[in-house]
Amino acid sequence: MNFWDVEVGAISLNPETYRRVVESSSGGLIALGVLLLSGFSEAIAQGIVLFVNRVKPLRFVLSLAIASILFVFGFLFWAGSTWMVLKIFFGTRAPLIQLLITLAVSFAPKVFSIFIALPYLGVPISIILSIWSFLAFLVGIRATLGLDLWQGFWCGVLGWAVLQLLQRTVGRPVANIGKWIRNSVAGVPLVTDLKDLERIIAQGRRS
Amino acid sequence: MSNRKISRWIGLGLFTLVLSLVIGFSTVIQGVLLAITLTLAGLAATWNFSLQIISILIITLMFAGLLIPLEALGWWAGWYDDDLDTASYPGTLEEPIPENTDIRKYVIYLDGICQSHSQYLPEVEIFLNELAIALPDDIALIRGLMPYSVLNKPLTEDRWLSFLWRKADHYQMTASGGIFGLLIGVTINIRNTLIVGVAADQRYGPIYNQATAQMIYDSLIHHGYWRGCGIPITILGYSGGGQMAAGAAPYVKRALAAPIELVSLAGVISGNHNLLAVEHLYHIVGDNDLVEKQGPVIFPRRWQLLFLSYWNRAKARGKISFISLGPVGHNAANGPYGAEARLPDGRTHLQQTVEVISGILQGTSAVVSAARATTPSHYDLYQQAAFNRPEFYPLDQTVDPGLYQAIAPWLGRLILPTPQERYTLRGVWFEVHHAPTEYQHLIGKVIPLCWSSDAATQRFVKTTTKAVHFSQEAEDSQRQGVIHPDRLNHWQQVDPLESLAGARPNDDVIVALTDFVEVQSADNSQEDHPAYGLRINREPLQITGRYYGLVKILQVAELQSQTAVETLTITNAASTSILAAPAIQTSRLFRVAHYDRATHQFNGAEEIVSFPQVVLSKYGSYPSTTRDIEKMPLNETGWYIYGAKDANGMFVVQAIAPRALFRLLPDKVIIGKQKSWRYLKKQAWQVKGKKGQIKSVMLVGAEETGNREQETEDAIPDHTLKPVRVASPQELTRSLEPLSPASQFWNEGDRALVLHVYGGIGGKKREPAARTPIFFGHFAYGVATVIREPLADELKFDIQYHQVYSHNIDGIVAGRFAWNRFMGDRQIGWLGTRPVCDVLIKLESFTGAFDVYGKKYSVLNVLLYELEVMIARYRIGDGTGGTYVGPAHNCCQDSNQALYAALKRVRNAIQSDPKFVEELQDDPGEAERFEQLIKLTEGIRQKLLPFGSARADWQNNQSSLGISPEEDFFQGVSVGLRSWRTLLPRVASEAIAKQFLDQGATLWVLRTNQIGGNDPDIEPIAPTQFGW
Repeated sequence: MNFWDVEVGAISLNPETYRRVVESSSGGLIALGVLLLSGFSEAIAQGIVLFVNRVKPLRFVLSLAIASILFVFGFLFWAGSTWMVLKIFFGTRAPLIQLLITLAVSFAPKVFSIFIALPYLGVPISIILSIWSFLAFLVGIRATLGLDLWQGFWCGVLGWAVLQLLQRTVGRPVANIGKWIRNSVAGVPLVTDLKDLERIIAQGRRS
Repeated sequence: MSNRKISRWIGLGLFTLVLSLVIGFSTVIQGVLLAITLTLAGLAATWNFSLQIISILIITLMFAGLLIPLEALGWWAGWYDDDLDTASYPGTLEEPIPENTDIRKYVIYLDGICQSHSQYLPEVEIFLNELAIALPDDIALIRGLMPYSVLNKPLTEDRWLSFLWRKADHYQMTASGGIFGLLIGVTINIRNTLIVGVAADQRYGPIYNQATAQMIYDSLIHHGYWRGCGIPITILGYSGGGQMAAGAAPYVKRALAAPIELVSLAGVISGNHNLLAVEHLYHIVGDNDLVEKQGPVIFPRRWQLLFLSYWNRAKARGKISFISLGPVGHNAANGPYGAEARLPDGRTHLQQTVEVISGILQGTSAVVSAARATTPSHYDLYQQAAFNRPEFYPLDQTVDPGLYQAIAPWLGRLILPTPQERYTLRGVWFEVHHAPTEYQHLIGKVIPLCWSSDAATQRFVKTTTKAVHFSQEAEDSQRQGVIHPDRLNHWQQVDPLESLAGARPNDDVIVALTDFVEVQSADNSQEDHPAYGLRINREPLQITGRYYGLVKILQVAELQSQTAVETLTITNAASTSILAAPAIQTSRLFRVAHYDRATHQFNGAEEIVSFPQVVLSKYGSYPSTTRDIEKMPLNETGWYIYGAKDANGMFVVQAIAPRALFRLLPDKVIIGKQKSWRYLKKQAWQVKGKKGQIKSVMLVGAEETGNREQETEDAIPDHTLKPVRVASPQELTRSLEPLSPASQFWNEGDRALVLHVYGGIGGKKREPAARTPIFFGHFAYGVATVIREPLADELKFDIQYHQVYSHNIDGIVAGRFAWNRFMGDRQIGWLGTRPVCDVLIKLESFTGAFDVYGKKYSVLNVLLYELEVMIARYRIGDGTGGTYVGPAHNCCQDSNQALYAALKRVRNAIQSDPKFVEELQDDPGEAERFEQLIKLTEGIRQKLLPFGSARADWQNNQSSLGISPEEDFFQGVSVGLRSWRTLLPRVASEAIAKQFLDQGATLWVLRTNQIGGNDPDIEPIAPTQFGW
């Protein structure tokens, strides 16, 4: 099973792909590849944030690379919180690595995130990709962990809720480290909040 | 070819095969089979090839789509050289402006998506040439900007792909390259379409549009524009240029603080830009334009479902006019620039486009027909009576100067200029009714009336000048019979004089020019250039009548009937079919005795004057009556009568005012803060049993001393409640001052702030607004001045109101009102029908003046200025054509917004200039008054702003009038509750009066309760008192 088979299979929401990749010896590497590619794609799509912050060209490229890596770390947090939910609420005994691979592969549709950068079509594309990824998550979790659709749904929702909780509490120092890395690479304190970005743009270029 | 078609072919082949077998033509069958096989194979190959081509195209497009925002983003991030000069292509003028020309308007043309450099397609060049010829010399038409590049750089120069764009441009211009050339040529369109997508994008748009705004800004500055000059700007965008214009306009407005209009010709506009910030968008589209029609489909912000989008809100507020070009397409020969294609009326498409656009740019195009009233208004009804129309009073009639006085030195009728006249006139016409002695020869002439050119006046005019385009609400409201400034609809740059002259359907606004009047005369007058013109620096004062006299009504002389003639021709066309003119109009003739200044009695000349029967209101009651007026107690002290003579030389009384109300002779004097406050709160608004009576009470906020109150209480008998006290001739011959306690506090020339509140009409003929137990009433500020009235030779209050008044069915126009107009007018005044409480407040620190840098600085003047700004804004509803009563905006809220603005200005002046404070405090008396002023303003601020901070629109002075309460219902209610004290007229009046009392002000309460004749069908209703 190679990388592209997994990409195509996951994107087309094929449950068999998930089962096989979990069982595959190279599953972990393939999953990491999917994650990095999706992360890079998403980083490009979010590139406008770097532009708004007036990041210089070389730092811009570095920032994209760092963003891809940070994307993987962000994923780990999300996977961790989902794992906690699975343990606590659903009593699943599946090993963590199996969940990690499943969740990582479910990010496959996000490889198209780059198209979020398209003018005007980008916003609807981002919505479609989010829904698509969530469906991939449901298909994957159902195929590998044996949860039914509703359980999968609640697992996703609660996992997200726990992640939010962690980010605002114990995860804060880690998030701060991520932020520090991003800012250091970008060379400017990055503004990422939507309202603040709008404010910067509204102030005009020369301000 | 689709699979379905291929299947159909296969089916047909099989069918033919079977048929052939049956009929046994084997050789033919073989031949046919071969042919079918070859055809299918060919089709499949073509299909695959087509699919591949389409795939490549899509991928290329996506790739291009991802790269296309980079130019704008790089510009924003500063990736290009820091010394990048976006002003290096500032565009050119289509036609040079002659020297010494004052440019009236700047127009910037932005082309459609075919543009690759400053040279346009041939048909566009012809259009611009024709347009420049059609426009007058003082409109500058700028062309040649490249809105499809943030750097304003042509595609054909200094770029990696310049060679491709040059080729594409060549094929686009010549159409000589066949299909290949067409494909190459269309790449410019595709590239620029993607750019339009960037400009329309929520994320990239704000960045890209700022770049476009920057290039427009640079171009304007290059061509002589300067920030703050106020010259209107129009951005004319064709097709994709419409989107670019809509995106950039709000930023250009912010940068230049100028009025900006958009003209979109076949524009494809996304609708997610702040169109509320621009004056107006004219959206001009042909019926056969299939490209523009995509806009409302592909751009969600233009779907009606998203009713809160900028596009839909702008549409609802009347900011967008949709203009059809008839059977015209989007581009090429059948498009709006088509020089050959003809319309049914014989004009070419191009001719029509030039006519429509030049008409809009010059403000002479009647682009949209205004809504007509379907329900007659009070104004329509009242106009049926001839005496309510100015032409009823010939200008050549004169009066006995011993008996009558001119109401004001300069008095006349405002006449709205035509759209063609207004740019040369820059004001309105003024039919002179009264003029000072040296200008008597002007009486009867129509001369220009303009704003003074001094800086302060021009600042006021600039603040209040706005384009008027009726919102949907204004049109709906007009259909319901409310009087809106219909004649001003779709006028650009309407100034406060025009909005006053054009406020009603007819030129019947009669005004006095107060304060400064500068007479300008031209030596070499021609027929179309009047020799004289007037310049003023304040809003004219709306008045009723031309002359006034002081009389006592002796008896009814006779009842006169006259046919109402030609009453309907003057009202607007739609309502004429609904209105039925009364066949007979009656007038009561009264014998009156004039006041004799020598004897101080009503034993002067006697004459007969006419009181025409006023027209019945729609609510079933008469706005005033003369029934038993001669028996009323107030008749003993006399009436001021205002009017003019009719064609028969009979003096017609248009307005009345009871003399007793204005004399500085109070019924009662109350001294002490607490007692004064108690009176204001508990007794001032007593209406039960007071119908037909007035009350004049002086309140002194100074601390009580000894038993003075006992002496003064009821010192002067109540001349309304009790049998009237008639002053003896001996008493009247004496000077007023020694008699009256008022003389200690009020002197000739003193000014007072007026808080005006009126109540409701109850009784059998109750008005609709008074059908619920709560009656809000109405609030206004005003100013009262103590003057010596020459006919009676006594001091009296001259009261003027600054009425912040919503559009209404009576035709009352927000503005400065003389008391005799707003209250005393027998047809539209409220004296006969509503209870009114005017609180006159005199506090030297507020109503007097400080000496600052050798000039008089009066806080009251600052307030009056702010009120005049507000009433000018009200007349045109901040450009929407209408104002409506709601919790956030109404007479009380907005009058007090003016007060807030005035206090803010005073505070800013104090904070920004330490010397200013020194000037205010430079003598001990002034220092004390300054201290008092600070306490007063703080007290008022705390009362007006119970929750600590002002409403956002008050703080920012936003143009938010004209939004119907329904549109912003929840916000309106929330804003109303937050500023609740200024929501309720009576509460506001009392709260503000108390602040002044606390600082020791002297107040004078003037109460009237349905004064004039006796109408048994109505009763006064006091505004509801809300807790404290």
